[in-house]
Amino acid sequence: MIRFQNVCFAYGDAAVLTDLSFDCPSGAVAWLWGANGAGKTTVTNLALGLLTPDAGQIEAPTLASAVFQEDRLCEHLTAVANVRLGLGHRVAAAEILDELALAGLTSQDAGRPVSRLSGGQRRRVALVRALMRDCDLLCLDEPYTGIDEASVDEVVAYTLDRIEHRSVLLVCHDQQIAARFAPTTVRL
Amino acid sequence: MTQPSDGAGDPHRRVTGLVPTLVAIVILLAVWQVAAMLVGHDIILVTPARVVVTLVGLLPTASFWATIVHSLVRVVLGFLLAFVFGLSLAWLASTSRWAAALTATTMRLIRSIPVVSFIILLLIWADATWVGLWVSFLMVLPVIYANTEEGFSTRDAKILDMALVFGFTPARRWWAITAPGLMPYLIAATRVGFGLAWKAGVSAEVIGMTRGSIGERLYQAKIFLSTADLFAWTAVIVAASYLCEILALWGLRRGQAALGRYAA
Repeated sequence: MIRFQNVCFAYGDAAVLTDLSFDCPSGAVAWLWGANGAGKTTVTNLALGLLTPDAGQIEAPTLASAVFQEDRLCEHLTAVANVRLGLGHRVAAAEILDELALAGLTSQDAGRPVSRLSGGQRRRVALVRALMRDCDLLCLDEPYTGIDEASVDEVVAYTLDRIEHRSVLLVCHDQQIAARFAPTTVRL
Repeated sequence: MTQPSDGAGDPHRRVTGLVPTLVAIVILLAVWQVAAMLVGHDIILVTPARVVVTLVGLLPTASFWATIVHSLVRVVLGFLLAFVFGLSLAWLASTSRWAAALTATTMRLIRSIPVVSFIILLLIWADATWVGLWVSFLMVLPVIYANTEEGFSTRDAKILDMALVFGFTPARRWWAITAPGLMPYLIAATRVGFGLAWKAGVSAEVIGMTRGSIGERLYQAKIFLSTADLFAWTAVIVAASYLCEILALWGLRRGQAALGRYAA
């Protein structure tokens, strides 16, 4: 469960969020919708505890996972190692490889340092890292950026399969993709 | 401050291949030979051929190798101590502004003090046996510190945020994020540091007349006006410095490759 109550936030003098309130129960998706600079990423950072609100209250699970606006992968590590690091506990490489395959990454690519992967492949790694992690809060900030149109459907289906009980904050400019999550819209 | 790159893979920063290096060496030797022939006096400027003969004469003697080991141990220990202390102090500086101010001021002071002042002070405090080690340490410490501190301060805050969200343990954060980020800075510091350690260490041995050291041999070359010996031992220092650097860089790169395995 995520709850924002009358949350205000400003970067210096520039107010970004004013009196923002919404709830997102477990297993539900809140779609953060607004123009560039409206504060969508700020909301995810507040939920993740990376920012502190100037006013108002935020209730969010402490066990969190995220696909950030940027991939934020450890460049020298392989896709498998990046996913394993995100999990925080030992998981068989085969299990990670299976998940990466479901997201459309071959085992050959999964064994390469992520610095040698394409933008779309890196995005899939970031997504698998976020979805495999045992957590109650999942922030997905433009999770399908760079993934080719032909395989986006497949990757979205994979994401939907893995949401389970989590509260999800979704930032996505593509309304058709967002609609597949049957979300509650939070206008910013 | 040195550049935070090992230069590997950048064709504009590095002259690659054996041939250009050999050509450069041949040109320098030719210039040296011509200059020595023009001077025409072995005490003023000895020929490269004479230096090679002197060096070949030294090679089979046990004292030659004992002298090298004597100085090598001190310079390498001095460098390693500086490496450990420099890295630790830079880490400390990254944790607190007060620690950063204290360490930065100390390093600035060490950098500003002439090396000879340190040598004389160390000779007043103790005998000359280990002066090379401490002087190497003091000269390399600010170099390692400055580079590593730069590495710590340029860590990607967004990656650190990711580590926070994903609950990385401090050990995993170190092996997966901090250490790989520091590696280019450590490689750059090592490139500069080993040359500096040898130059400063041997200078200390010359001034302190450390028994059984390369510095002592250089001092004797001066006393006996043996320019061939001076050049031969200088060549030994250059070679030893180069080999130390190559070995240290090899070790660091192996460490860099191992980081990936340990991190995961």
